[in-house]
Amino acid sequence: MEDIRLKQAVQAIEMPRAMEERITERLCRAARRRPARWTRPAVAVLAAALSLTLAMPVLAAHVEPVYDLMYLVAPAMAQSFQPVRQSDQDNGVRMEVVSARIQGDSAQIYLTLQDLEGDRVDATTDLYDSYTVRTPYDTAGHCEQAGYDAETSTALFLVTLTHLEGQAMPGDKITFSLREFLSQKEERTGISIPADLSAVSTAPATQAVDLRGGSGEAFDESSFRALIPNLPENACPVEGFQLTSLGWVEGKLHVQLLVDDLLDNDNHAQLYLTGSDGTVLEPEASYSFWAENGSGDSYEEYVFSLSPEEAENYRLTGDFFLSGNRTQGNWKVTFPLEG
Amino acid sequence: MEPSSVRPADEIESIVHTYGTTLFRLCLVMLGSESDAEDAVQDTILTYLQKAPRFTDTGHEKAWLITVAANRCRDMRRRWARHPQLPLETLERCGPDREDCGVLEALMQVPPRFRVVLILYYVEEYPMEEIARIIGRSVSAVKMRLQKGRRLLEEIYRKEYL
Repeated sequence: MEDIRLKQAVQAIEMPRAMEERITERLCRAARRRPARWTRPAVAVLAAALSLTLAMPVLAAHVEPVYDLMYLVAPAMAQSFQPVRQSDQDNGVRMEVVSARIQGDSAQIYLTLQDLEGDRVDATTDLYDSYTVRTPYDTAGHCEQAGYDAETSTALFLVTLTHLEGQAMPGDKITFSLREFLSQKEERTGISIPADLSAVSTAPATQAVDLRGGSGEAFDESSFRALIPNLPENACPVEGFQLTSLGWVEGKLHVQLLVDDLLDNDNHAQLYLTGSDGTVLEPEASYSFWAENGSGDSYEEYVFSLSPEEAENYRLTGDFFLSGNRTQGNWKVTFPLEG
Repeated sequence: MEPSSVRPADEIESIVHTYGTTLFRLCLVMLGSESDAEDAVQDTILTYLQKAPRFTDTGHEKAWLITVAANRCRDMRRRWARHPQLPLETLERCGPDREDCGVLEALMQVPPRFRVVLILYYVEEYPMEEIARIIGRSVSAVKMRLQKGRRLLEEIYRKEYL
């Protein structure tokens, strides 16, 4: 194919006029919102202060100390929050919407989660994507933990909603619901996996798989074939993970890891090679696919670019991220959001 | 050129108008989705507005935007379980005729790491050294990708369109 044809074909693409107008309008709207950035440090300071102070048992079942602290840290901001104090309880866990405020095109909501029966709510508690905010208009939102009180097993969260059309957030009823949360999350980094990289098969059996994702500069789903599990013993020392295969495929080292029950947890790992001099070799690509037995187990296959001779100087290492506990329930609070 | 951190509307309009199509071409070919390309272009220009980098000239500015857009496309592709195929009618709506669409469809079947080099070299006409800087690889890696990318493109095009 002549080079000129490629250039001509790509240059025939024009951004549609309507798209150009949409992007310009959204960017102008974002630019108009820029003054709001000045309030963010105050929020960050407040969140940090709450995180520190809530190490003491100030939150308990009451919310007044939260207001006291707000007034102390940022009185103007505290005044703009309206008390809500509506709660719902299920499975021994209480969710309470403490306060909320509207500011321009966004709304901020403080809510707490308290385990009344045990320690399922802890400092690592994560609502991940299991919460829903229902509003009469389209919003984008995110939720972050703002503090934790170990004495009462209470975690404080800040939910921020932004009107997708960039309009001022109207006062209206909002429903916040939660169906599960993760806690007792743990990070185990730099874990050595005792696999002998000098004795890896150079002709392993492979198979075509139905990929669900992947990453890395060399990620190429069209040419990828996964190893067929070939290790009789699990060498991975971290519970919930199994080292299932090793093999050289087209001159690249493939390492396959099985994550148990991924559908029921958020466990994940990152494998890499550590050299005898401490250097780290990251995989050039990784591929994810479900186990075929429908168990919810997931395979991750990492591809490293090095020679078999070089591999003898490396050991397999992993960072593991475990979400130990998953608590389910049905918590829902509907409350008025007032401007 | 010293962009200020807060841009008036007419300046934003000018940036989108000046670079929108260049970025859209790259993002559409890299992502194979009109809506994802729109998001990537918007994210790129938003990053430009937020970071307000200083540029020595317009060439520097354009290369910076292309670098950010290429990185954005790479990040978006990493998160996908499946890579979309751009329907022919969507391609035609963006300008190319039937013959051009054949070339573009073949191009979009070339793996992304070769595709981006082909676009930067043959369409944007950047030298190897600049492409190496934009994609964060060595010049020899760019030469190899260009060579292999061109061969793959020709093979795909001959097989499916000739």
